[in-house]
Amino acid sequence: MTTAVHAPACLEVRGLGHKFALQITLEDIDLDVTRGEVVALVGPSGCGKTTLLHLCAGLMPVHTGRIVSSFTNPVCMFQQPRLLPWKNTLDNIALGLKAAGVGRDERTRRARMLGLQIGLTHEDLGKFPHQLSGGMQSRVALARALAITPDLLLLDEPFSALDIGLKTELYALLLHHLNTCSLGVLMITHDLMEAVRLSDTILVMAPSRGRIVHRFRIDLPAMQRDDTFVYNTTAELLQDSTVRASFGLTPAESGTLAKQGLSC
Amino acid sequence: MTASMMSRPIVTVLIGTPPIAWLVLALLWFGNGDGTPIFTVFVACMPVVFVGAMQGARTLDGQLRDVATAYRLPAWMCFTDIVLPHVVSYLFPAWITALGISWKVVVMVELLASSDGVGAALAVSRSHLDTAATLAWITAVVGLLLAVEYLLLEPIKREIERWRVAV
Repeated sequence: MTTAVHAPACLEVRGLGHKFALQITLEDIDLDVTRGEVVALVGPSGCGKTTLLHLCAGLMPVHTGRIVSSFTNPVCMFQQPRLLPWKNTLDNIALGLKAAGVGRDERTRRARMLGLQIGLTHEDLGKFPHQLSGGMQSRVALARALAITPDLLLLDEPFSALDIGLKTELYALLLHHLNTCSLGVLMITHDLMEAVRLSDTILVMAPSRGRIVHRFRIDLPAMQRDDTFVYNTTAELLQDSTVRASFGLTPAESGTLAKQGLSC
Repeated sequence: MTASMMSRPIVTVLIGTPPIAWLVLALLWFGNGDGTPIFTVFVACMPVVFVGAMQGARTLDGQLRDVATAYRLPAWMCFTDIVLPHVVSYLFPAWITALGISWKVVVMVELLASSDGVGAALAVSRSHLDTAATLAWITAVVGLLLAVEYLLLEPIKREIERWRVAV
């Protein structure tokens, strides 16, 4: 990834492609993420979403196309919490701070503050990951990502394994954070409702050759979206024939749409 | 062909060769000096520790490497915070096994090749047919091993493996 200097900070992906051996997993991907914007990549499993995110995070080399980023402090949150099992909660949250060279007292103070903010108790902060529940591990992973005050957040379905209550709680935490410090967010999900709830732009990917086949913009600010809005917008999105095709759904029949929107 | 596949036959040969055979070779090479017990103990223990370290390195979680990259961990932190804790958790049990082996081998070597140490003292008590002295030496050696293992190594092991799931 190369860094260019121009304001405002943005991530620019142009003509990006990727192959695993002879199989094309991504083709001709164009997308932009600017500061303060949430972009969601939606698509069925195996359509190359994670590959795209890993390319943006610099975890894989780019062979075709280019990724230009002027974000200085990007951070990636993975599908699983991926906490270091030999570090307690506090040290896990402080991992990025330690890597950035923040002193021990300062990073412990900041990690403690963040840990309490995301709803952990003082006791939890001393525990090892295996002593925490799945939901708590996800919260710790979120805190670890937010600890380094990133300007770009790359999310790889971090909430997909959580129950609906925990999800809502983490959405609220994330939205609160997005509201207070404007970040660019590129998130991956296969859950249309999650995308509608959180993002400003939704990009739908199709499984064949990993292309973006549909772009959808939501203008209402995320904080003002209620459940009805989310259900209706999801249903509206599901009426689009390209979106239905990319998820392998049969062409829409009128009358069943609202229901499918709700069950998605 | 990975390093672990290449080293496997060497490790198997080293583990499979009886320490007494190494002792004979060491006597031929190093004579009656300190070199003989040092070499024999090293050759008997090294493969055990090597296998432990190799297993540790082989089983390192690739996902944690991605975490290291994503959070821009400097090289020294990748080593101290990611590789080391994992590898040590494999190395430590290997060290404890190696300690037990070295204890046995060193007494054997001293008995056959040295005029000094516990083994030599055992050789003397054998030639005097002194059962009491023999048992006393054995008790001392085994007691010392137990003390080292439970008073020194076990607390260290417990401390560095606190993060493991309790069984």
